[in-house]
Amino acid sequence: MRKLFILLCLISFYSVGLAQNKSTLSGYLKDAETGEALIGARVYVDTLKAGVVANDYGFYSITLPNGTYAILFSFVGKSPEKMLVQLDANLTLNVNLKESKMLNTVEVTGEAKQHESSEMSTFNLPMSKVKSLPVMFGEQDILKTLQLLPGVRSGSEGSSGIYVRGGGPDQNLIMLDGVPIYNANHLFGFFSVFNGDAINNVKLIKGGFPAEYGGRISSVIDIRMKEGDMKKIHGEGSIGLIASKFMLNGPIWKDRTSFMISGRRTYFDILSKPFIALANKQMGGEDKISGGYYFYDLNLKVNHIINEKNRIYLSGYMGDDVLKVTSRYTIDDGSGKKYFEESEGGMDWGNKIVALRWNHQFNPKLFLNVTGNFSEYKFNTGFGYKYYEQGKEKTPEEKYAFNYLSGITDFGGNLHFSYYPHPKHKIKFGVGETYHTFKPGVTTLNYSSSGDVIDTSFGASKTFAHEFFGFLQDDFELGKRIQANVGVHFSNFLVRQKYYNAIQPRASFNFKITDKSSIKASYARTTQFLHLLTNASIGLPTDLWVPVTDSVPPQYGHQWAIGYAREFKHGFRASTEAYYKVMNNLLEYKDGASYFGTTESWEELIEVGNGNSYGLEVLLERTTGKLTGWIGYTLSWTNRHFDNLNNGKWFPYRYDRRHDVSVVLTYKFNDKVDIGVVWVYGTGNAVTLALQQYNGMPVNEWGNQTINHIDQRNNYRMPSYHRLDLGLNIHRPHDKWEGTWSISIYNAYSRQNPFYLEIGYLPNDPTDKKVLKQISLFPIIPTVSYSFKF
Amino acid sequence: MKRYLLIVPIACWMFSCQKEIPLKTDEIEPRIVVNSIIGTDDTVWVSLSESRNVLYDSTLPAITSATAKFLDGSGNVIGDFIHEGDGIYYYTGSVPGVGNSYGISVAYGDFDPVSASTRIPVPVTISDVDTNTQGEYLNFDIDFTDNAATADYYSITIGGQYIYFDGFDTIKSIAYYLYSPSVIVDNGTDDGSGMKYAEEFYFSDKTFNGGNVEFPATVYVGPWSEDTVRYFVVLRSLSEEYYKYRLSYDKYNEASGNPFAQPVQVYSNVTDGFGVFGSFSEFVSDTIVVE
Repeated sequence: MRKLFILLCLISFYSVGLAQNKSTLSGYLKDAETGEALIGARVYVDTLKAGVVANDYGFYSITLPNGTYAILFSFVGKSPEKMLVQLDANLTLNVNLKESKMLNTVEVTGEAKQHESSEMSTFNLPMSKVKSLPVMFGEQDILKTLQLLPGVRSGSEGSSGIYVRGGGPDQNLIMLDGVPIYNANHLFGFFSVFNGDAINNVKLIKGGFPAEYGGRISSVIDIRMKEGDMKKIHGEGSIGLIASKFMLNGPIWKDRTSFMISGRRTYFDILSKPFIALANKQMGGEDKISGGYYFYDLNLKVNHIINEKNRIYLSGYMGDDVLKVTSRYTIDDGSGKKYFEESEGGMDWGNKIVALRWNHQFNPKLFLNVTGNFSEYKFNTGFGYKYYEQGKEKTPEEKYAFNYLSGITDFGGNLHFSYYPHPKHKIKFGVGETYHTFKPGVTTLNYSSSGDVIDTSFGASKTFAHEFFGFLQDDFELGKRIQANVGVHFSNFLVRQKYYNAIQPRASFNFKITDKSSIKASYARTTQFLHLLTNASIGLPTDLWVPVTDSVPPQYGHQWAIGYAREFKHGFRASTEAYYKVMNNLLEYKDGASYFGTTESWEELIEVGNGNSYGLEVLLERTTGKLTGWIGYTLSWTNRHFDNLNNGKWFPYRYDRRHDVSVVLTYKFNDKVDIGVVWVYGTGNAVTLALQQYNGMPVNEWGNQTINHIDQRNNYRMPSYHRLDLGLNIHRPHDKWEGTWSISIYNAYSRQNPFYLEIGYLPNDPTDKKVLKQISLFPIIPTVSYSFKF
Repeated sequence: MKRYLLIVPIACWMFSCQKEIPLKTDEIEPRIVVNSIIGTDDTVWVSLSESRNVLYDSTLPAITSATAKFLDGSGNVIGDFIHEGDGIYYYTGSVPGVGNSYGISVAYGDFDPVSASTRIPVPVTISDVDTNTQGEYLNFDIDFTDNAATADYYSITIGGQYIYFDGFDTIKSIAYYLYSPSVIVDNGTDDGSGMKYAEEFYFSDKTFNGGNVEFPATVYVGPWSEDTVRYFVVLRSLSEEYYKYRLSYDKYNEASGNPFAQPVQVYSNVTDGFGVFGSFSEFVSDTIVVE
């Protein structure tokens, strides 16, 4: 017993001694000029070959044996800082990195080197790249820039819809400051809702999902807003062809509280007013038409440092698209009485999100983020008509109105812990809960005429659901060559007394072959409890978000990926990945189903099936120097199978494109002039096209109906798509501000790219023959915009 | 509408550009189209025509000189179809029998020959029809027995006859719209209250396979005196081909012209061709007089 007691004391003293030999260095990494968090910035100790990356709030923590070290703090586009740190106790060190002026930086130590990180299928999009590329109508768009990466597709010409590795548009978890956004599209998908001036960081994950992410099966697009400079006021703004925007940020309370506010609005409605006035003038009399379309975005964020260990953030976004058309015509019935016909139609849709977050640092190793959030998406369309005698507007002879409303509302909260017990381990864990309210389409109809009255509503009733998740992951080193991220995400869903749950293991590995190259592999199981019923090729706001129910199961995904990454000299790096993905319980509308004009519940209009997707992606990048950018290539196949569609046979997915190439380059001549070039090529999307016609069975005395025969869903390939965009930015720095003229040419050689195909007649065709027509959208579009910042 | 066009083209100069895409119509070979539904007391007829590529812009040609053979279940020739005009061919031999399989083969010029087969289902007897009146509506409960050993397909219609005096006593027929629960039937228009309505309902035995079936249907009879109309129920047993074709054909017609509707693939059981060769048998209930 005595010997046991002595042994226990020796073990205890040894453990305490061990603990006392290590200390933790922690703090925040921020932009020296703007004060923004440098998400993913790197902290590296060369002598120990150990490093960490800053989290989403710029916080880092690294535990090292006591001693003196040269520690390198770095981030892409910033001048790295090397500091000699004497570590003999826990130490807080906040570092601000300045903008790098060296265009020919040889050694890029930026965020974690690709070939050293366990991250796979991940791309951090520099906002500087988003701002320097040529764009349509001069509107920078984060989602359109992501579409230039291998493995990421746009739905159709001009659309900002995202299709990642064969997945659908509902399978992308798009988050703004950690809050999911359900419809990230303006103008029917031509622009996204993200104002680039308000955004600090964008990360795209296509596979190898860390366990902290869940809820969608194809991708994560994690977008973080700027926090606001705590030291001085900054602002940016721009005036473009179709929209203007501004962003203002700065301190409310110096070094304690900052704000960021940004807004954007289009002016189609203002620009169209003279043309509408001309039309009214030509009509003459009391007849009038009016209308217009606009969208706007508003972002707001407040960031307050309570003390060294506590910060709170309040962020919000609201945006709307509004389309309205009204008309009024006079009718003279010949008896001297005057009548009026008035009609009004329109649609509006938009998102609102609010997030309140609290960061708490328990100690140098344990960091907590608590978030409470609200997210809402609503779509509303309607049409009204009335016919009345002059002076009797309140008692019309005929009146009808139609209104359709759908949407989704979430209230949620979560806890995310980051724990750094050891340089070789970064542990994250957390839980969260979201309360969903789904409103998948309610139609109301009112009609009155000559005493007949109809007042009815039909469609799906509200559905309420709880979604709960938890996760645990560890990013760790196994020896000197292997970096791994292993974890599990579990989620539960309760709807209409039906309970679903899913355990989702995740693992990704990086095996360093040499100091410059590595092989990666990953597996991820994912689950999604929401579906998006989409009925058209463009991002119509009429697409419905619906929950899983007692009869509609969750989507499941499995993705395996293997890849190779290599760093070269002069900032070049290359990576290639092959992936295979299986998706279960996908939804498609039944043959003939239409979400408009139907009284049936959406559950009766769908089929449930499966899909697979596989391919190879190659990416060659250069991140430093005068010439930067990337060349990407994707070879892929994507298929679907539904027992009751296409006679039970596999068919290609709508967005199955065999080859995709993107060349994205920017060249910085000097601080005043830079150019951007984008060239994209993709083989055609698959569309359903009837190629033969024949007589159907005569079923009535009016003879046969001609049937256009479809031998297979998505049986026909559209022509290939390619486009060249050019951009020129001329910067004019002044004492306290800088102005930039941006000239861009979208579709520089005016290629008529396919938007959709149909059988019909060409206008002004003397032969008047039926042809297969291609409808194209955008020819060459030159734009000029002016932006400024201070 | 013209008034709106002043605004639309201004916006559309950038948004609409059309051009012809070459469609290799030479590679789209026309095929023989066979349309025939046979019963047990009808003359057996078939409509034959040619298909064309989708750009063809004229009346689809009827086939008037094909060699069309009527076959038994073993593929033996029972007789020939004779052309009577406009691509309609008749077989005037023995009347087809229930429970038997039949086939058709058609050869015509350079076209690939086509064939199809069907089995005439055994008619199912309506054992009872209960009715009750609810205002201007008449509710029916139609009883029959489904065979659990087979996959069966049905259609139901309800008709009526009354005597109309216009100088002479003339028998007039009425075809009613039926209302039935959505979960039972496979076609019809949803009225938003869990019911569908149609002139003829098609359904399979998936919801009740085997055993006694009580099929509910409601018709609107109006304010007329019930005892002037004699009702009857027609229960058809359909071949699988006929059922699938009819459902898909109806969906196709409903979806035509609706840009928001999903495309519909119309079913065909004609090998190397298009169309349908199906069959049915039917049972007509006794006349129902509502007290």
